[in-house]
Amino acid sequence: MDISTFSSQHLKSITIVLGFQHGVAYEKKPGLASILLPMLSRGTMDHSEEEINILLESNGIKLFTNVAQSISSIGIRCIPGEAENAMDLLFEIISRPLLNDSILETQKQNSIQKIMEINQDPFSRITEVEIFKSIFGESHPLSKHILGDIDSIKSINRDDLFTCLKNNLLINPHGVIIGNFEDHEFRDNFKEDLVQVFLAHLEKISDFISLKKQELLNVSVKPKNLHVHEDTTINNLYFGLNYRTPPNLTNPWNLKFLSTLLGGTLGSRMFRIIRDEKGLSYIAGSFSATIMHHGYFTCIMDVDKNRIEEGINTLQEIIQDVVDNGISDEEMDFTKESLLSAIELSLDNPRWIAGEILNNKFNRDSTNPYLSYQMVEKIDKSSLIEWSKKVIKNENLSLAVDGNITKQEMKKYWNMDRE
Amino acid sequence: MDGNKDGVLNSLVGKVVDDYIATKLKNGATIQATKLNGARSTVILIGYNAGGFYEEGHGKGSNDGISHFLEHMVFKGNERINARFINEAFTKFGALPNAYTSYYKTVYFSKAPKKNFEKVINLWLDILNGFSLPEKDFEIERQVVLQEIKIHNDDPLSYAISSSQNILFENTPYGHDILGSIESLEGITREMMLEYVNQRYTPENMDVVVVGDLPIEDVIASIEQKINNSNRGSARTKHDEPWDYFSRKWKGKTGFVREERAHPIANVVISWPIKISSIDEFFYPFILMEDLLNEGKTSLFYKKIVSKGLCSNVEFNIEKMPIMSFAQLYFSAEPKNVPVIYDKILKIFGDLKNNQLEPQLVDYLKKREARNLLLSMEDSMNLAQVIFRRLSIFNKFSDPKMTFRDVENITFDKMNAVKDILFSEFDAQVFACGNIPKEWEPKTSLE
Repeated sequence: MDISTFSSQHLKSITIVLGFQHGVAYEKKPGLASILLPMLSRGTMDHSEEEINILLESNGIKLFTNVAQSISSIGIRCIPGEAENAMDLLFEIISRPLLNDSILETQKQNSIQKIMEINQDPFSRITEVEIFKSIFGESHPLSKHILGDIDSIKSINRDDLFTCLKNNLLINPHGVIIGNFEDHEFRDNFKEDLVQVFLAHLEKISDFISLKKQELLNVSVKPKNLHVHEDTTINNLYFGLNYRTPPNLTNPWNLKFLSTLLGGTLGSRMFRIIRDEKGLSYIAGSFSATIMHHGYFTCIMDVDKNRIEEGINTLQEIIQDVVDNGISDEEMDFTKESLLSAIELSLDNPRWIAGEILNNKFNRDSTNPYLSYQMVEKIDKSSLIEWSKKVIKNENLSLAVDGNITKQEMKKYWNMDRE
Repeated sequence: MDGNKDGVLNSLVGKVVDDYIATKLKNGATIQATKLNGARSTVILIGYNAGGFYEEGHGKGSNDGISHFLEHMVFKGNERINARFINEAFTKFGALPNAYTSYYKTVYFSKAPKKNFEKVINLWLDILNGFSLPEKDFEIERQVVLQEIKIHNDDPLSYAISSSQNILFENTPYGHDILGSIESLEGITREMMLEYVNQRYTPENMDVVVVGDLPIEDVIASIEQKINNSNRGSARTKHDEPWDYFSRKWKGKTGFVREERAHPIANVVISWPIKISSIDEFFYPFILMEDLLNEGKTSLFYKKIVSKGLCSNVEFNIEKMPIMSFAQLYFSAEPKNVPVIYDKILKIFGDLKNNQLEPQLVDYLKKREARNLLLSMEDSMNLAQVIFRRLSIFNKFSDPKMTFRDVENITFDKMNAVKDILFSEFDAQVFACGNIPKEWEPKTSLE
């Protein structure tokens, strides 16, 4: 069990995070970790929920939790003088939670409510829910929303919480401590003291911890080439044109680079052609992610229903142009500069640093927070274009559409439906 | 504040913001710069006194939404530095630029690595000194803004929030969306926009804020030279209307309005005006009132509503504006929970109206807010926003460290005065959109 530390001169706060190799993709009842993590602070054997909240907030301690597809974490951020107290409280809520039935019911209601809120906003719906149904298929583990689904949440009981806490949540944990430890402003050996306190706490809960590495899911991908969510109440159409990467081609840095070049910046092709030259869309952007050994990038747009065909065709031309005509040196340079700068700027944010360390630890066997920077720096044009040609193929392509349109109507504009 | 831990807090406050310089140029523009030691990021924020408040008329034939449309058009540059040049330059410099328009301000801002600070500030000043609203871009960008309006209307909660405000402030400068309407957008011409630029994008309406690990005296000198060389006119700012004038125009359309939509949940918005003649002495007490109601898990809304599983969040904001402020509260919930939540909210408001706040509670809120401020100011963008907000509200320079003093100086009496301002004459506009319980007719005032 190891702990990573990171020091930055501008930080006045201390951030302490415990990450686990558990996420919604591993859950038989999706949404379990999203219910469990916030419930940990809703009462322990030593303190009521109200007492915990007062202890946290009156001392300026921020408690945060995060659940993703394959990683979860819980952490605190506070001024240095509160770090040891905050850590005591963090480990109290992890090791001695009440998890009682009445609170479980309210937490389930909160989760169901959040899912309904996502489902009423078409932009949230397309980016958080609908695109995954087309990329991976509706019942695939990687299509699950981190909050789960309403039926699954309703079925969660108290036993599920304890089973998850003891058998799943503390798999392969990794600690991260972030602060300004360089100029010893607060006290000498502060970092070393915090590491010792952290390790002592972990020792006390060692019965809970499993150091067995979580097996990565190996499930076949059955994407829906065309997925339509019909909503007759809205004005615009929203769509995501997606390319998934097969496991042998999943390269997070190439994915990020290609996605940034296409729609990740103001200088990107999508922003220039779709917004500035054609005025087709307000949202014209892309993002990418790797989840375990799967990856994808998606290009998202809103468009007036009368311009849907123009929207899809324009976007496909923009993407195909990378295959047909490659990337100019200038475009390569400014995209790389933009990506490296984005990483550099994120290094001011302690929660981003913790997330990066945990992501690298669980997915790439590295705890180096600068790994992404180093890997992006190494990307060269010819290998990126070669890789892009293998990914930008119809067999990896899918389209998700949300709005006042039927699947039958959509087939007029999309003739690649494999179903 | 007391005790050793607060001693540490006070010493940290001094270290968060190491140096701060502010200056007002002869042409009226202001520049404020703060050094944030060790930060990799630098933030530039440039604001103009231009926004929805200064627009005239409503709907078709008006210029509603011109400030926001202009905000888009600024990024089109001119013949020499066109949209493509600008967008690729920001990308090349690793900058993350953005902009927003409010009722009183249009603000352009970016975060960028320290090494590229000078290039980014020069780019911003070139754009803002030289944009010319190219004709070829005007119609294309109008389509983009129309798409943005439709996106706003497609989200029932966003739509409900602006609808409630529009009804409450009908026929006043707050009675329309910042984005404008589809009808008003279609009528805005390039000539109207050029005239608006001449009125509002003048040096005396301009405020610049810079944050980063930078030699701030040199930074200020360099920006000063660029702004003094500005070729834009310097027409006098139209003075803000005093509150009593505004309030005479305001007819206050309170009451309940429902709009059914085929969605599983309801979105409910409660808006009401805050009748005070000046915001500055109440600014931080209002922030503590927001905290009391909905900040964190010791807030009243969390304890009495969210923790009971009735909804996932109740959001409460006081729009603290120079002329007239208003309060707005909103939540989304399953229809069966809506009347329960609403009654609980009115009960909380009623209790606040009828009872004094306890001194211990006020002390707790002050202590918590000071710590939250400290953690938030570690972020360069948050720090820039604090500096900009202080100028906007107090209309004078003040070191961001003064924020802590202002919170510390909030008195028990002032908090109770603010509570009375908010709730003693509570009479609200309530707008519900979505799946609304049938026959639900909420009260819009307190007993």
